[in-house]
Parts: sequence; structure tokens; C-alpha cells
Amino acid sequence: MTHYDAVVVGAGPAGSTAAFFMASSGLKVVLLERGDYPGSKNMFGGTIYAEPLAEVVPEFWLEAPLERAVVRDGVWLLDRDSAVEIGFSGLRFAKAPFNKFTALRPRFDRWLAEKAVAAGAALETATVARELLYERKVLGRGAVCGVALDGGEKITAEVVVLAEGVQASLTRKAGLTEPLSADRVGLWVREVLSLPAEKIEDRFLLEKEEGAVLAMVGYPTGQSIGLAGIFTNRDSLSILLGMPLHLLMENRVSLPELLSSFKKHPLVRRLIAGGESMGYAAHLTTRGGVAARQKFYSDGVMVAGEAALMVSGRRGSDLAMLAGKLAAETAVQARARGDFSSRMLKNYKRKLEATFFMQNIRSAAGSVNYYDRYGDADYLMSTLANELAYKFFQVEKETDEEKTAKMTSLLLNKQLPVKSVRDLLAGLRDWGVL
Amino acid sequence: MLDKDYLAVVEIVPSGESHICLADSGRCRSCETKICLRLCPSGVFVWDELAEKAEVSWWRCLECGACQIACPSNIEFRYPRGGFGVSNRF
Repeated sequence: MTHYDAVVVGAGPAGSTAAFFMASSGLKVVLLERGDYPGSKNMFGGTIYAEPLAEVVPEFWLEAPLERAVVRDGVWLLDRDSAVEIGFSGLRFAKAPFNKFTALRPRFDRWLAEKAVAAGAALETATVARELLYERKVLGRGAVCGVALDGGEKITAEVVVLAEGVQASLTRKAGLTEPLSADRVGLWVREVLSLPAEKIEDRFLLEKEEGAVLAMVGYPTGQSIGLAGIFTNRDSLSILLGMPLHLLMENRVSLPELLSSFKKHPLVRRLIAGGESMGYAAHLTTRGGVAARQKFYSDGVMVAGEAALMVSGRRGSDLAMLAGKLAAETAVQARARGDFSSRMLKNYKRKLEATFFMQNIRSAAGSVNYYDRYGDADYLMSTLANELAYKFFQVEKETDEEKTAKMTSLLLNKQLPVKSVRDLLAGLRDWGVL
Repeated sequence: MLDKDYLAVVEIVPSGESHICLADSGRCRSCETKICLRLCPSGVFVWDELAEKAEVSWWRCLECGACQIACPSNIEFRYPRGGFGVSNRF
């Protein structure tokens, strides 16, 4: 049986970052990954945010397997045959230090795990950690002291960093997080369509290396809240579509069916035409704003990333990296003191509390509930915006006054459940639209 | 209905044993919603009308784990053994 200073469960952004920093500080670290290589089980839209990643690997853009630097961000309020498009193009984001990049997790996670390995961490792939090991105590269970693997093999360590992602089965068994409920998670599907780079650049108004992200609400998920997204990779598009799980259940809708009809929308199909399907995945994400009831540490164990519900709006993988770094710093301090008890690991929580993202996550808790009460808010907003826009842009023989009056009555006749623009923005942000 | 089989492009290495179990397959008969049939994004659960039970095609599983959250009392999902199951390659 091998003994380590730290065993890290999960070679995603949180786990690989934690392993990287611990190994860099001289700790003996093993990083466990259930897939046959890091990233092989992962999906996201998605984008990697530059600032947090640069904290882990300065000037990462010179070496990381990224797809495109995002310079165009759009939100489409999509209706049956129209779309109100809100967007921003910022070419400053095409240059260092950049803002965010599209990426494919099977490539990105593998690279990040290799950084941890280069720093001295051992990487064990195709390995599922099934149980936590506890020190024997006369009464109750003692500190966490390792993990038991699939085949029964045991790995002991001074500290276990759980970075096992959304399912978080060990975290749950350890009593550090509550069981997931359908109203607290979103279910997503993602298809990757290969498309030549020139076509992507033409259709999304990009130059070489530049990328675009489009988020679409309204039509994609019918009369319920939900979101679709199109992400431009180097020579492929990632198409995402997701909804809160409890609404999927209530409305008895099927995500692959929604995805198929989304791809046939007349304004969407022209963006993706000719794309060859090269991947399909499904994944749960925790919805932001629920981390309040989460425990982040106990004797001999810390939790980072989505296993600890660290999701805020669209952001998750970058928060996971930042949390992984904080867990690593705490472990290094604990190692210096020779004390991995919860008294020492409490520092991890202190560090987390000071971060911008834990504050965001806590303050977002209310808006998730708000959005749940008004589950059709963005459907209504989307149809209204499209009706108004049709009215506004349609050329007719009428006075400006008549036109304004028509638009006002259209607006007044809609009973929007939105208390204020601020609420709506909070809701949209929380669901990852913004 | 689905106009294509999304799974056609997904690489899945079945592990030889199911990682999705029904605690009591008889209970599905009286289940009103049978939500698993509709919810699973890769169609793992199919209702067998003759046998009056859910067939679990676990080798189609994309490992999202939504089934267990949707039906916590009867569906047990765990990750497949290391190195098996779905593998996203690009």
C-alpha cells in the first residue's frame, strides 16, 4: 500500500489544479481519474476564463489546447421565426491577456493534468474511488485517511481532496453535502458538429483564432426556462441545450428532441448547416446559489469544484481551479504544521469565504428561487421582445404616434411576472444566460 | 420523436455489468409518470409492454446520473468501473 501526502479524487479543473500546486510545493500527490484519460468523461460548452487560469499557468495561451479567443458574445431572445439579438464584439479580447477561450474539455483537462504530472504528481487513470477510508476511533469514525478503489485497493494519505464533480458520491457519503434534488440541478446535452474553420469564421463574422458564443433563450426550451448555446471551436461547433431537471420532469420534455428541433430553427440551421456530428454528451450541473448548506472540509478532507456546488451563473470550471488552488495552499500549510485536522483545514473555508465567487454564489441564492416561481419568465420576455421588434422594424403607413401607441398597448397587454429588470437580470445570470 | 440516433458517434466501452439498478423493478408497474423513459438523454430506459417492466440498456448510458435524481427511491446509479463507459475523444 502506497502512502501519499495527498490523494486527489478527480482530474478535472479543481483536482488537477490542486494536484499541481501541492506537487509544486513538494507534497507527494496522487491524482485519480475514473476516465481512461483526464477529460474523457467531461463536457461543457464551453469557455475557459483567462484570468483565473493565468493564476494557475501564467501565459497559458502559449501552450494550452484552446479553441478560439472569444471576441463576440451574444444573447438571442429566440422566437418561432425571429430573434432579438443582444450582443457585444470586443476585439481587445483577441489579444493577451485575453478574456475567455472556447475549449473542448477532453483536450483541455488532459493538458491541465499533464501540468500536475510535470510538477511531480502521480496520475492514475481508469480508477474510480468508491469509498473514503477513516482512521479507527473508539467511538464513531476518525479522520479521513485515504480512499478505497474499484478493485479493492487502498490508497492512504494525510489529506483527501475531493474534486469528483457534480455526482460527488464520496462527498455525499462523508456527509459534506446534501443529496441533489431535481430543482437544484440542470440537465444538459451537447452535440459537437465539425465544420471547416472558414465557414465558422464567415458565419459568425470572425477572423482567424477569434471565437463567438451565442446564448439563446425562449424558443429552445418552449414555455419553460432553459437555455441553448452555440460555441465556436477551431473547426467545430458545440451546441448545448439544458433545463432545470424538475421542469424537464414536470413538462415531460426530452432534451434530445428539443435539441433536434432547435437545430432545425430557421435562424439556427443556417449557422450549423453542413456540420457533421462528432460527439454527443449529457451532463448535470448544479444550479448556482445553493452553496450555503455545503461543508468544505472535515478532518483529513477538503472538497473543491462542483462537488462543493461551486457554480455561479455560467462559471464553474474557473471557480473550480481557484478553489483547487486554495485547497492546495491549505494542504501545504497543514503539511508544514503536520496537522490535517479540521482545525487546520478550516483555513480553506476562510480563504474561500474571501473570494468573489463564494460571495456571488451566496447572494444568488434568492434569484434561483425567484426564477423557479416564474418558470416561464424568459419565454414571455422573449415572445414579447420579438413582437415589439417586429412592430418596430416593420415599415407601415402610420404616424410615429400611432406606432408608439401600438407598441405601448402591446407592452401593457402582457402580464410579465418580472418584478423588475434587476430581478430578471439576476435570474438570467443565474441560469447562465449572461 | 428523434430524427437521429445521437449515440451513433459516442464511444462507449461496456463494462460487462450494469451500473444502473432498479431497487424493485415491480414497483415501476404502478409508477404513474415513468419519467425515466422520457428523461434519459440516451434512452437507457425502455418499457417492455409484455413483461410490464423497464428494460435498462445500461450500455447506452452517458453517465449524467439524472435518472437517480429523478427517481431516487428506485433507481441506483453509480459510475461504471474505471476505464469503462463513455469516452469523449476529440
